[in-house]
Amino acid sequence: MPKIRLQSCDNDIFEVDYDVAKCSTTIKTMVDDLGLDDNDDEIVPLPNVNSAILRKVIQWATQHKDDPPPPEDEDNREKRTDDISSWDSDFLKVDQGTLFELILAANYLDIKGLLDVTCKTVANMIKGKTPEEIRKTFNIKNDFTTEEEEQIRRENEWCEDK
Amino acid sequence: MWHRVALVAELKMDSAIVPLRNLRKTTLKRKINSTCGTKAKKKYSSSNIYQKHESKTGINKLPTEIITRIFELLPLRSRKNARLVCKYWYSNLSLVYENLLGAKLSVLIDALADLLQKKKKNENLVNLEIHIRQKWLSNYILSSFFTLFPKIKNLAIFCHSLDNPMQNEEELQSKDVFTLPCILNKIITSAAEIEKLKFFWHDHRHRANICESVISIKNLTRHV
Repeated sequence: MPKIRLQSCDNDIFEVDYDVAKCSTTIKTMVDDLGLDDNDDEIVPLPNVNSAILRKVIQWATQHKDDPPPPEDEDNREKRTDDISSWDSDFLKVDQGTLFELILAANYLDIKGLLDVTCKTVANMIKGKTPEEIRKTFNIKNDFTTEEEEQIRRENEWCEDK
Repeated sequence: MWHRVALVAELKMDSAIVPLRNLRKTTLKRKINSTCGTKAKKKYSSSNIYQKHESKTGINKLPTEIITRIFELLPLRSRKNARLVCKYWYSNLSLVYENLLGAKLSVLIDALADLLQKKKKNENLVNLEIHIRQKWLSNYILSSFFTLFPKIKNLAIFCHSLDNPMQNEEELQSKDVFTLPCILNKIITSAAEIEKLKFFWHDHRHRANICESVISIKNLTRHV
């Protein structure tokens, strides 16, 4: 099976199957455009991903390498967050910093499946919480004045609960 | 040394990942620089968005497009609560509102304008009702979003009823829905409510489009 070498920003090099690496559209495009093959000694540099996160990304891609490609038409797809597989759920039991870095890496490497599941995980951390609970969860400072907060509450009255 | 030992030990747990620290360091960067033009270099260079967020902790360090993507996954009640968290979230959720509603409200207003034109021509309104239902009421978010939508739904039902006067005639008559002024009044009310929503549009283009549509509705109603 063809292999490809990926280099993290901290200069660690990982050799992975091409089938795994092509989960990343960014890597797939680079390899295809530059005509690299398995005999090539070239190393694909990933200057935005450190080795700890790249290792996690490769772990996820290895698990999902045989998944069907995600649908293109996102707008018409129901936005569910309760369909995370148990493997993904366990995989994403990490601290918030790692979770956000995985999101950034998935975005940079253009791995739609990983981006979806990480964003859903964050959405699930927000769901059902009050503004104060959300602030506490993500360590966010409330920078609204009392008047501004009141104005937003008035705006929110326009929204009708189902 | 210890770092390497630890790295190898850790990676052995996963046979798909092999550390190759001592490989030749000829990288794609060199190949890109030597073989590609500026466009390709730009294509493969680091993401600007990513570079902005060097401190990689904290949800607010995520790029706007990601924050928006996360907010789009939230149900209405959570979005309302999220708007109250901080100014950055409020601003991003306003973008979500714009994306959700900006284009779709324009479609609604166009449908209302069509309604007026079709009414003038005394055409069949059933198709319009179906159109409004398909475009709007099938969307679970929008159907519950603003108080506007139940009114639009009623309007669609009224339109349908106009073509089926024998259906629930007594009930419909009691609501005085057969008269054109009644329908126009409902449309004008809807337009006024849409106008009130403009504070949601931080993007001037959206705001301008909506205001323009509202004005066109008002003009139409004047001539009927």
